[in-house]
Amino acid sequence: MNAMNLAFKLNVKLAWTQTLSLWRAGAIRVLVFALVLAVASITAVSFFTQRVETALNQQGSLLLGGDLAISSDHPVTDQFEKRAETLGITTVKTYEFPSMVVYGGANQLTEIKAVGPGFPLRGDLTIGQEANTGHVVKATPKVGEAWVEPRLAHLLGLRVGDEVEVGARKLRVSAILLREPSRGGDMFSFAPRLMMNAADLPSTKLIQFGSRVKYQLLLASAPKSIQNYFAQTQPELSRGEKIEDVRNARPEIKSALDKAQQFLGLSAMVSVILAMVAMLLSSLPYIKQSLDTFALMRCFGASQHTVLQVLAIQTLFIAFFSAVLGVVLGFCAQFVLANVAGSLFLDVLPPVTAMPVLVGILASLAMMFAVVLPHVWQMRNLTAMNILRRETLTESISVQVKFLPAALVMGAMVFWQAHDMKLALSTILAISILCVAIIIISYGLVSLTNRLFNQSFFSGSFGQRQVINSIKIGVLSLKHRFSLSTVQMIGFSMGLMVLILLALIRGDLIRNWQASLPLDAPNRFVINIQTSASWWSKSFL
Amino acid sequence: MQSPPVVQALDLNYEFVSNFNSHDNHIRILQGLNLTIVAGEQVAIVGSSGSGKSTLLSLLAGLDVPTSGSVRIQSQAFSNLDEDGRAAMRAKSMGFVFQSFQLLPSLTALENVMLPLQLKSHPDAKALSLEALNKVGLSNRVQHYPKQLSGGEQQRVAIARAFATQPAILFADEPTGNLDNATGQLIIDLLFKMNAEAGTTLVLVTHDVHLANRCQRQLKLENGVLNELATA
Repeated sequence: MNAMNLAFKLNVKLAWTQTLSLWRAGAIRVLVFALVLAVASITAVSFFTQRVETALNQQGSLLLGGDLAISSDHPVTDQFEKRAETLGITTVKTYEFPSMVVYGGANQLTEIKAVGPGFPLRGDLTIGQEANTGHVVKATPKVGEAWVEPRLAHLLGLRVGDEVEVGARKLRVSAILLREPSRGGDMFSFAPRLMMNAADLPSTKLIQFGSRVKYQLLLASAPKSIQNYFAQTQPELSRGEKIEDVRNARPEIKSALDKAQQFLGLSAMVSVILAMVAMLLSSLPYIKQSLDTFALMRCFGASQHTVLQVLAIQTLFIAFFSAVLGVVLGFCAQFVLANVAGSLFLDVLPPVTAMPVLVGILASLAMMFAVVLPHVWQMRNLTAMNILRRETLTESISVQVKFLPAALVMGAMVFWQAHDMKLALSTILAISILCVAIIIISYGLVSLTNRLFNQSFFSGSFGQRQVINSIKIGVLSLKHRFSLSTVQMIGFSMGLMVLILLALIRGDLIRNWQASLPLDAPNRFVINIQTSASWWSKSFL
Repeated sequence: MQSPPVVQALDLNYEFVSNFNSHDNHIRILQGLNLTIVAGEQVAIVGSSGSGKSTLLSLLAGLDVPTSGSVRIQSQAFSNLDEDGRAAMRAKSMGFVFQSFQLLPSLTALENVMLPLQLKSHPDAKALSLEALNKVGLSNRVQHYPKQLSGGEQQRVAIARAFATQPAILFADEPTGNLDNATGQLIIDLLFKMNAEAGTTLVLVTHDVHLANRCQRQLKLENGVLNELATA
């Protein structure tokens, strides 16, 4: 065990020394730079979308007053509550309906909300004794009490301590309700709010057959339990019942975020493709030097296990440190994104979480190993003498196999970033068509040029013949290394294609969005204008 | 009393398949070759280009495997071991000096010399490497990279690396092949001086008659077999 530990420590030390030496010698700088760039773009997008998503989820929970809400136009089925109990999910029932509230001789149409104990499950309420000072509470009105919004207090001339009539029940106003996040963004909730204890509801005698009541069962628990509950309950919903979660609490922002995430994800994808092409092309000096090192190590008595372990650790070092640099860059870049685009979604974005860091590190490892793996596969069969004699990679593995892991990783990343099967498949199909087209065009061009320069009719001065001979040698070299040349051409073409595509799509997206709105689409609304005041509003406009 | 054999080649055959004009051609390099080298001997293997000198050296050092026949190192079967078994034997008993120096460009002179010692988990890798570099007169160049050193200096680093592990057998493949005459002479002197001090068995492959003449035994490889030329 000790010997194994010692050997491992030695291999780590060797890998570290060699990584540093390769860096100093400039053999891995382009590779590292490409990797850092790819990780930075992936993590920047991931950090940003995760912040917006977290904010949306938090807002969604506050708006719902829980993680999940079952709303119904009839009392919520008991089995839904029992299921929640079984899964250890906290629940609370609420009832919302419009009704008249009477105080003295005045009455006012009011949005009554009767809440059970434990409301709100998420977020809090702000109440006070007056309309301009308040404190945060996580509580409900006591039995026989009511909290009223400042507007209701103003309309009815209510003060704390006064008694209001709600149906057949008299309730004492014990606080002014200053803020209720779960009041929501329903633009047709015009009536002011009165909140009361659900235990007082029967005595009001307001809920009768045919009453328009919104019955709600709010639920809160760990995300996994909520997901389970959602999955089990959704198919069982009957007429008049609906289930809402934090994702659809603000559908307008969610939809914008989905689009932004898709676009940013694909932009990150472009940088990943470019970076991987750069990595593949720049990995050759790294591989060559590594092979030389490992051949010598074999010569000096290192076992194959040692050699492969050192290479694996070395690859891990490069992937890890590039990932760290990339994550730091991505973290800085997401601030720019948040400043530029964050305010389009929400006022304040929550802090970042660790998930994008993990994503960056995993992506870095996947990309690095995709580049190195084929060479490791080759190395397995090479003796020290093979490498020292430069009987290296070209014959023992085909170019297609060499680039297969990189292509697979790129494909996986397209699926991951596109968030849409159709889009991912179209992207992959387009890339495949591009590859085939380039192979055909390259082959055609090389064959044509080769045939052209092999014709004997070329004559002329010594200088001209020398130029033609140089071109012949160049074309022959291209022909002999056709696979590698094609891969290089594919790489550069793909790089150019995605850059052009991105530039086009960027403008196209904005133009499409602008085209979807009529030129005279209003961006301000004035409502509740009486006929008598219409002349004033027209002159104001 | 005769010293025990350190390197033995028994009925060694080596051939490879060359693909020319889409036809496989079997090319025989060694044909039933036999060789015995005793401890402390200095043996030069000479022969024309392409005669198979380097191939023979790589077979004796276990860097390659014979088509048939066997190699024994310090009376132990060697050529029929697997790659890792041969590597372990090399780590234990062998040192190498190559024609093209084979220094790693990304490592300093000191790191290059330390590499085989580190692979053996030697606790004094750095001290021994510094001592070896001192012996070859490069104590002031330890932090230099190969590209910052002349050809002669690079070969001196390679010699320091070969002797730092105190091997029983030193294989040298054209050690002066990439050097001018004057530098080559200095390298030969250094190689033999260090070899004498360490009492290492030296097996070298060379074109250089002058270098071959410095060895106790000279063997000429011709048509796949070895012929004894002279004994110093």
